[in-house]
Amino acid sequence: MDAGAAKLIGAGISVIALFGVGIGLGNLFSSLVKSIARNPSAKNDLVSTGMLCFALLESIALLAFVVAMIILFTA
Amino acid sequence: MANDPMAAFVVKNVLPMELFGLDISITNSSLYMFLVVLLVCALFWIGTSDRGLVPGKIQCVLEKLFSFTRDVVNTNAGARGAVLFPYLFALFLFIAFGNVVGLFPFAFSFTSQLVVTVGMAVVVFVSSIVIGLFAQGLGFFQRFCPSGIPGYLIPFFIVIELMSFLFRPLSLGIRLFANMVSGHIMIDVIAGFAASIAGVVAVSFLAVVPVAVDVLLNVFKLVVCMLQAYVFTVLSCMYLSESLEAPAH
Repeated sequence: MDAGAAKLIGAGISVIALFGVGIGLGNLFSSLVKSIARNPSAKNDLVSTGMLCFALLESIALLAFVVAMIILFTA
Repeated sequence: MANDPMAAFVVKNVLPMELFGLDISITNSSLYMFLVVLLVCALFWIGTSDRGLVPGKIQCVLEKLFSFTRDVVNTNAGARGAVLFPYLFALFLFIAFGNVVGLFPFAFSFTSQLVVTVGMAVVVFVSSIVIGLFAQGLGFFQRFCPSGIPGYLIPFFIVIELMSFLFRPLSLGIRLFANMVSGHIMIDVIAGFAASIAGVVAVSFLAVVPVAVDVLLNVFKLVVCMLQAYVFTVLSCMYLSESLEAPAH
């Protein structure tokens, strides 16, 4: 296999991490909606905490993205 | 590749300078940092020059930014965290304005440079260690060994806590960096779709679709810019206030 093809396949494999991030995001937002439905008066606190968790979770997806970009665009 | 999405992140030398053999040239990255600092200072100068009980337009925005950051510091660090407020407010403004300025066409986004974001994160990390050593003395090291765990687990806990502690500046910096870079690349790639669709004469009108998606992405990017500045500030606040507290265990 030549190096170019291996690079493309490697970049594709590196974004498998998005599988876990998808599960995590679904989990996070389902619990967020559930907790707001149970206690609507706590919505402001819950949303700000949820957004913080969202950003932390998203950073894992972006790490995978950075790895893919490093594989693709560096020699 | 005809349209290289990485071209927006190339650091160019604008004004070559050298001091005692050190390269202190003004690059487009540092030029935009100066611009952002000037912008923030000018905004505060103008906004507070004719301040009144009934705020004007700019004063309204500034008061909102101020009270927002103050609330963040209050909820995460409590009354003790008031000493952190000036630093965290400056950090928040620098990152938020840097992110937003980078969204303008042909502008350079200095938060998409790993050296800038990890540099800021390392400053937070080192100052959290120094503050912790001053505030808690040797009790600072108790955080690596939580109380109430069985004796044979202590070595594992120390290793794990130490690793998660040392990984903090890296994760803090890479989070901001990756968010900025990925957003810019996404916008670039979709703009490339528009260019290649417009090249096909029969369906060139379809190029409107990627352009519309790009507009929506820019709005999304604006949200991400503010959110990431917020997250960076909150996490720095948590790390620094942990060091200010008396040892918990």
